[in-house]
Amino acid sequence: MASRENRRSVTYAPDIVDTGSSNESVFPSPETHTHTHTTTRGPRHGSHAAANIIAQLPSHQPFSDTHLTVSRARSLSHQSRSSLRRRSTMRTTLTRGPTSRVPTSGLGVDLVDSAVEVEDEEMNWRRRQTIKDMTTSLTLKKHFRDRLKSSPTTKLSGYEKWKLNRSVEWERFKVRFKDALSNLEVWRGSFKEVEGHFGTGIMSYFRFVKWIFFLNVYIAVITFCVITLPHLILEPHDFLATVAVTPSSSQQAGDNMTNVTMTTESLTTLTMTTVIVVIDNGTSSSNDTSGGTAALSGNTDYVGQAQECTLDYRVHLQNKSMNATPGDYILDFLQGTGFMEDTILFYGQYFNKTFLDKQTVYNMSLAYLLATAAYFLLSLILMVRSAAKGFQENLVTSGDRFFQYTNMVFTGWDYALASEKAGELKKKNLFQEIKNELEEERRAQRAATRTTGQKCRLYTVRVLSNILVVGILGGSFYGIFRVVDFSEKEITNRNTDDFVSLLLQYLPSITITLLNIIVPEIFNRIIMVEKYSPEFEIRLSLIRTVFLRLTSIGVLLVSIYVAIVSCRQKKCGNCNFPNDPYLCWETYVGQQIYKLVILDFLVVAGVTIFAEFPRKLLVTRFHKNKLMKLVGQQEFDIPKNVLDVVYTQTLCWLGAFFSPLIPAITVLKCFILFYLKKWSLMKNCIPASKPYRAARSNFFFMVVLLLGFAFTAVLPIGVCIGMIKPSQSCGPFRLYSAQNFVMYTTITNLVSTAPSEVQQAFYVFGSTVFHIPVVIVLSIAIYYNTAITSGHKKMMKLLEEQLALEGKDKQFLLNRVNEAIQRGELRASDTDVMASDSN
Amino acid sequence: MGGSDSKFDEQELEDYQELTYFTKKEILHVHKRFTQLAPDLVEVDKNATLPQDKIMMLPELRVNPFKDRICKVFSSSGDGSMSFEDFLDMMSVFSDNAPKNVKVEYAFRIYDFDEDDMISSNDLKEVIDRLTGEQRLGEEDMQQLIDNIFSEVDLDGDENLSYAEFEHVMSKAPDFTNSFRIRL
Repeated sequence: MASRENRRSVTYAPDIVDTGSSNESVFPSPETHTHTHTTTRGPRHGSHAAANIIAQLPSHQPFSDTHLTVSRARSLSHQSRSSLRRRSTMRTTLTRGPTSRVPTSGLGVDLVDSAVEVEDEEMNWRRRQTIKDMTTSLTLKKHFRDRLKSSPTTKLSGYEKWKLNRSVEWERFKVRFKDALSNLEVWRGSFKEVEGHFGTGIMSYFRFVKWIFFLNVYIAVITFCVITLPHLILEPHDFLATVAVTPSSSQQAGDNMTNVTMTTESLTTLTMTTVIVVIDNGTSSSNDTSGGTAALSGNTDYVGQAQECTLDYRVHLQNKSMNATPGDYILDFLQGTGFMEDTILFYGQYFNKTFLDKQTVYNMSLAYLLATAAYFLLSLILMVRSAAKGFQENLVTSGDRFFQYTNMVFTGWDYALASEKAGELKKKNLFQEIKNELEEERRAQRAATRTTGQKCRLYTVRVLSNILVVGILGGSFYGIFRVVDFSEKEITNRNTDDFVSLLLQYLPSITITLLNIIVPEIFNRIIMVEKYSPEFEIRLSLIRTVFLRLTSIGVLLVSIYVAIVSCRQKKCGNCNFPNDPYLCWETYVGQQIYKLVILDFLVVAGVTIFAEFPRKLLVTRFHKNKLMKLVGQQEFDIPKNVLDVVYTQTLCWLGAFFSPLIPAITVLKCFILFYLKKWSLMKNCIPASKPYRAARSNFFFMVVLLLGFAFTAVLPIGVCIGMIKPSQSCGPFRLYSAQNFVMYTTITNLVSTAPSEVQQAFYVFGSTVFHIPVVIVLSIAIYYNTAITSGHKKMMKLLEEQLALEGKDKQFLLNRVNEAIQRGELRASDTDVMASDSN
Repeated sequence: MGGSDSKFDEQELEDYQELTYFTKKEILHVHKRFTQLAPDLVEVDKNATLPQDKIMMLPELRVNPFKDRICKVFSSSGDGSMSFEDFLDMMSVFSDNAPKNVKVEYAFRIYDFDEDDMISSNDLKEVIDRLTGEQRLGEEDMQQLIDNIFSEVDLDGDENLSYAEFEHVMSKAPDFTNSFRIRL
């Protein structure tokens, strides 16, 4: 059948066999590997025979008949399985031995001829798809492919053929799609630059920024198209005009209503006419200041309320921006007040649109809620997808310390490095790391185990430091709370627009930012005394810092909540303060978040430009100075920067509800941040001295992002939609439809207008009768998956042990054969498998 | 990237796309980098064979301690010189899209210095020496390190790393795919 002289077997050249004595590494040339060579050469001593036999073991044969037919038979029986399995069987048959890249003729003959002669088209095509994974040279691959193409195949017909054609088309489409997609890839050159100089670890940060950038682009597109664009385009452009022809108000509307001029410049005339109209209609515009709605029997004039509140708000805004100076404009831009307040930046501007003639409504409230749900869902899906990829990797790796040294050596070198300096540094780092690990191990072996007294002391220290950490966190949260309170009161007391007022406005944000800078440093000092292992140390300090950052936003929100919701006096759904009534609390929240966003950007940019650059100049200029040596060169601190990005994104999610343009602002921020950080990295930083384990940490950061998403974005917005009454003077929800109107009521109103089957379905999905079984089923699924995973782990251990035992068996048998040959009971040629091979 | 369009016809690009993990655009980009190594040689023959020292001028390879092994493993003539197809194959294995098992296989070949299908302690010693660069580990340190590695990985205790054992470890290593990657 197959030509024997073309088989390549890996043999040990005689010199190498002496494993103990000589250390020379011989590079065997292909000529010594011919088959005939080993049979004619007699054994010089027993180990030659051993080498002989080892060379003939099936696992060392790249293209042996039996091996091929066995695996081919296996693959044929698994025709319906995925090509992945076929790929692996292909691989084991074709790729043993380092010399298999050298092309020889006739190898293709082995592959095709030895098994079933004719296969169908689909098998042929699938085999061609797996040629990519062959670890041979390109010429050989071409050779195989041509052989596969030209080998006879049975033609398929009918359904099978159609299926095959679909698969082929789909593969082609995927390739074309990928090609087109690669045109859109941004920042490719920057990634290459960063990777070449600093390695893959730091590049993972920039990939993260790019991922966040695109996420924000999608969110911004959603909010713009669904909320802002219709608002800008569709008539009418003023809330009061819409109210004029809403059906609910038709019973009150006299003809006078329609005569009202709808320009915002003529505010006074507007006020006058509307007031007249309201009085004319004789409806009791429930204008009570005693906390909300009139005690009329379900016939309350929500429209009137909304109208009046809107007017009040407008007057208030007009008054405020009466004497605006240019300086005021800048302050307003930074604070989001004044002229900025009544723009599309904030929630307050939007309202339900009604076409004056056709009575159709662009239900802005519904659009608002649906857009929010859409971008939350999109973010969730993208995040889970990204985390799942990392999680799969984590599941396979069973703990970093286990293969510690092997990983250090075999995955230590970062192949992407391209600069001399980085290469030298990497070598130094590896050397240091290896030395440290060995030293650590020796020390641990030498030192006696910790005495009970020492252990006790260590644990006490740990408990105390944890209490201290909790105390510091609690203290900072209380501090934020007090500061917010204080700044509220001061602002309402002052009511002037000057720089001090600006400072007061920004006081909560500044406090939070300062705490975010100082407290992590304190945590770093504390964790040094706790003497954890390095991995755990990093994790723990990250967890603490993350906790601080996210809950500080939470505290801010809570304090705002307290200010908005729990006050005694309420007018138009807002709390009423003597001097500065929050006539629109949603806009107020939006402004706070806007300030946080701006401040965050300024701080990050400022620190980069004004702290890192001078530091580098100083350290390089005065590098002989002891103090400068202590400060040291700047290293790019990945965890801190990633947390910054997570913080930015959380603010974006939170703010998008109250200020639909914040995602666009965040897009801009990400863009500028990318280039700023890259510039700072290339100019100011040196490569890291400790290696950064990218895979594990990326998964961890995605988890942190998910946590921030769930607790600091979805939860507050959910509370806001479901439990707090919207204000009646601004926003798409100003028209109440019932006494206890919350934003979510829009949805229930919509459902109640749907056919009864839909309503029924809705009620079923919302009820507990549905939820409890779902929870039970999900819990069972989770438990089942956990059980499977632990089963796999056990299986892996078993297989490892089996592998070890098999290896030992092999050694044992080889030794016996060796002894037998030496004793003369067996001749070397008897062990020659090839001779006895029957064809 | 558009300039070298004329060098390859559609069929050749299709072929390369089918046999590697690259898209057409990426293949052309790889050829551009290849041309930059020795413009005069490649002008004549687009699939020219460049000698080893020219290949090692590539920035990513120049700084790599295993550059000679890489050239040797991927060279179809076995002496380290590479044609364009070898170069393309090499970049394809090092790209993002190559599956882990292919990378593991080639990594094993690169680290197997004496090409006996096993990573012996001599091979390991060579790997470690190259990784640490000018600073060498002392005898005692080196022996301890090698012993540690074998105790972690060598399942059958024969003081050699077979391919199965190597694959077993690397499939669990989280950072292997990240580090065994060159992007052009």
